[in-house]
Amino acid sequence: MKKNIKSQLLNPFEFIAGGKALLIGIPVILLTGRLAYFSGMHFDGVIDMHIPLQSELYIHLLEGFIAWLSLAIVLALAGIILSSSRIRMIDIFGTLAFARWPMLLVALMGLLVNADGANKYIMYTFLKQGEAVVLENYELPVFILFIVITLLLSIWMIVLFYKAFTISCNLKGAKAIISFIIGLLLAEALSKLVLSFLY
Amino acid sequence: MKTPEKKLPQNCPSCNSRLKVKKLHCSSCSTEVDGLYDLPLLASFNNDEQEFIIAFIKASGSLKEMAGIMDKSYPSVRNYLDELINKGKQLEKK
Repeated sequence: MKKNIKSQLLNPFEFIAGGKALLIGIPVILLTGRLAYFSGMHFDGVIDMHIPLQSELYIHLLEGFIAWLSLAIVLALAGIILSSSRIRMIDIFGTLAFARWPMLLVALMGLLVNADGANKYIMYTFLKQGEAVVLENYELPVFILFIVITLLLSIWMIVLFYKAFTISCNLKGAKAIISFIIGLLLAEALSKLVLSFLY
Repeated sequence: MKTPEKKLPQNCPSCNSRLKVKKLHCSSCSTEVDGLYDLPLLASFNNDEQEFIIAFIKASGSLKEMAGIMDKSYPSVRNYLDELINKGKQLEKK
């Protein structure tokens, strides 16, 4: 099968896994945390993204690692229980670290939008909470575009999580889909629990 | 004009049962052997699968080396091998 851009984007793990994926994934998580520190964004959960609250750098960095490890541990356990193949932990942890790279794009975009202002504007205008904020004409549409793109990138990341899980654990069909959904929910809960000790 | 590649038929085109070897021919001296032989298990795999199996043997059974040859990730190659193992087991049952 030839490497084409579509398969590389949607299923990069057909071509890259294990240590190589981990070597890309860890810097991606670190860089995402570093950029999130500048914009005040928080990736506080397996699939969460919240804006804006300035925290210490280590909080932003740890959030990414907690999100990654929570999902990797839960899906590794699912793989051990359900797969009949000889699975390698390095593939699960590596591919799931790599799969977080759409959040790097979100963190980058976060530097370009006035998320804090737009958030306050929406809170005041629609919920009558907080203080009145004056925005430039372009800032609200840019913020809405940012939210839409972030949503699409989050869906893309979940697709990558699923591909990482199914390829690393050699699972298919209903068994793969059901175990992934349950695993994702459990990992989200686990990450929230661990993060609660951080704040 | 290029002659089309011949493929060894494995199942009967009429009833889909597994075929057997009835006749063998020596292209050197034209000797013919008539009998009834089972097709070897390896012949039941398609050309791509046979190529993979042979390359895998040449790579001393190293999935890492196969991943390099095929330009695929290790788990992709392992999953493909698992598919072939399952297919082989199914064929043995028939």
